[in-house]
Amino acid sequence: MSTRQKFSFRDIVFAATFSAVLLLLNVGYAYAGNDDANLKEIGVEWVNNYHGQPGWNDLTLCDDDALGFLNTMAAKGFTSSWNFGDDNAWERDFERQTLGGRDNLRADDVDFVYFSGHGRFDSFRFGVDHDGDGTYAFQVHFSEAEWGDGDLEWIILSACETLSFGTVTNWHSAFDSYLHGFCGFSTAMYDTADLGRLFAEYLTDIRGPYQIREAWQRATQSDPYQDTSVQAACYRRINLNYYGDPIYDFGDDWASGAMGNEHWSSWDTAYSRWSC
Amino acid sequence: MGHGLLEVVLLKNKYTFLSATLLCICLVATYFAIIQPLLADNESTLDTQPLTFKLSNGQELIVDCTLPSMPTEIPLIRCRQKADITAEKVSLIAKDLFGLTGPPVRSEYFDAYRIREGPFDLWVTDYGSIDYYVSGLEFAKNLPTMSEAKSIAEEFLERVKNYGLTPQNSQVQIVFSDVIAGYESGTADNLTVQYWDVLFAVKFNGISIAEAKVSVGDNGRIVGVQGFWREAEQVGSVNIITPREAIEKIAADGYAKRISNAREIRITQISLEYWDDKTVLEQQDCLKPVYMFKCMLTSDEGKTSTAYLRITATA
Repeated sequence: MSTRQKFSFRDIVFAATFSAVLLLLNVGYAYAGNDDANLKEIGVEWVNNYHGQPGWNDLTLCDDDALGFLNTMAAKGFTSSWNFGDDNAWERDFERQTLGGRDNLRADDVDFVYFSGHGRFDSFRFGVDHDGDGTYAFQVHFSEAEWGDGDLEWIILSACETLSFGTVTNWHSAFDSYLHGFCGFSTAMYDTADLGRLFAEYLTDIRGPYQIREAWQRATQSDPYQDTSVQAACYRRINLNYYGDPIYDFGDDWASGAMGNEHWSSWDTAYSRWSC
Repeated sequence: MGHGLLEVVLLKNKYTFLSATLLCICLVATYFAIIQPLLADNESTLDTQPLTFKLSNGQELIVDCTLPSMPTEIPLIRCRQKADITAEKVSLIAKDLFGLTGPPVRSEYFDAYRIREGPFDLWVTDYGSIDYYVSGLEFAKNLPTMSEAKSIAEEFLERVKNYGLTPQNSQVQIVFSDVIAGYESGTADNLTVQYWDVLFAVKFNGISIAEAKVSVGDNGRIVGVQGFWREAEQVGSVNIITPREAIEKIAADGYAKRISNAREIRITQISLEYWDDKTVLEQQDCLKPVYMFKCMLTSDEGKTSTAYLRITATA
């Protein structure tokens, strides 16, 4: 006598419906393409010591900035996966494997990455040379980035000019598979000790919760170190329902109504900026 | 005859003496009235010659404006909470000013009440500050002009004042400063303004202590308020350094990120202000006196931008 379990057509329909409902319930959250066992992994890198590289002054507050984000999120139940600062912060951690990088083990192995240091319209900068293939030393150049094929959903760049209007599409090739978006600055910014902490507070129930783009806006506009001469920005993918990501466990999708707009729903990416 | 001659000589000497005395008085008066101020001006002129500093990384810092003379001490300003911020009052304000009817909830993190109702988020702090934000604003269809936005914001501010939320101390004034694009969104090559930010300077005896912002969106609706004002009072005075001493601190005072790409930093304006280094929801004790240096930054590629460098004015 066969012991194989028999499933009726009704069981199959029920299972399919149940799965679809589960999927729909979760679609608003920042989900990764892979490794969804933990949706709360965070990695931070920061650089104060630029070792006298021409044009890149030493900084003093980037550790406070990045750790403010990490510690506040950790206190809210998120997982602190890694924290590398100064000479331990390596560009290779963000570069794709085909260029000698190891983003699969670092940047693309967590859900959220926060970087604090120097930047410019085409790159963000490091104090030591650990480039994957020797090109674009001391920096993650946009051409070296390809995120979301692993775990990464959002990358936050607390650095000058990385999301400048007019050149932001440089980063379009970094949107691989499931990366949801970038938060950063369109112009130069001021050194800050508070921005990371404020961002975490607006993402969670301390001051929020807000969806990620709006939490970044609220944080940059509340940061006492910034002023109206500084413009922050967000560059995000919207064609996969990533328009109003909240973070996991802190749902708030009040921006979702905007998705109904016929123009926007046909776009691939959206860009927004604001004065701080 | 001899006696008469003596009298004439004496009289002449007397006039000579009087004339000499008068001349001396005139000379002294002339010195104090004309020459000394000129010398003083010269000293001040010497102080206004373009000063040039080389920062440690080779950047050039040029002072391209007059170094203003500043007092050696200025008022010490303390912030204090208002006694009359209650749940009832917040309910009333929320309904009348923002159309919100939800109950105010006391925050477990800040000295403030909060009403979150759908996309609307209102905070009223015990200092009388307001923080209001509307989520999900992406497609404005009927945005007012900038001057209309200014009028709408000023009218709104008057209504806020009527509820006693703004500082009651007559030394504190809130004055209009600018209208800027508050939020722009669209595609990477085509942005549209979704709302305007109308900016106001909060001043204590004419010196800036904070900046307030009222955002005006579609159909003239108030879509955001950062009412960054606190009840403030003078509680003493504090000694401050000179502008020149403050300039020398620029390189060491944590502006490396902002000025890093600049080949040249040209200071074009210097003012004394106070800095509220806490967010609108957080507790604040005393405001920090700072020198604000308006700078024109020039990059290696020749691009220019404006930056405001805030340097602590206390020793």
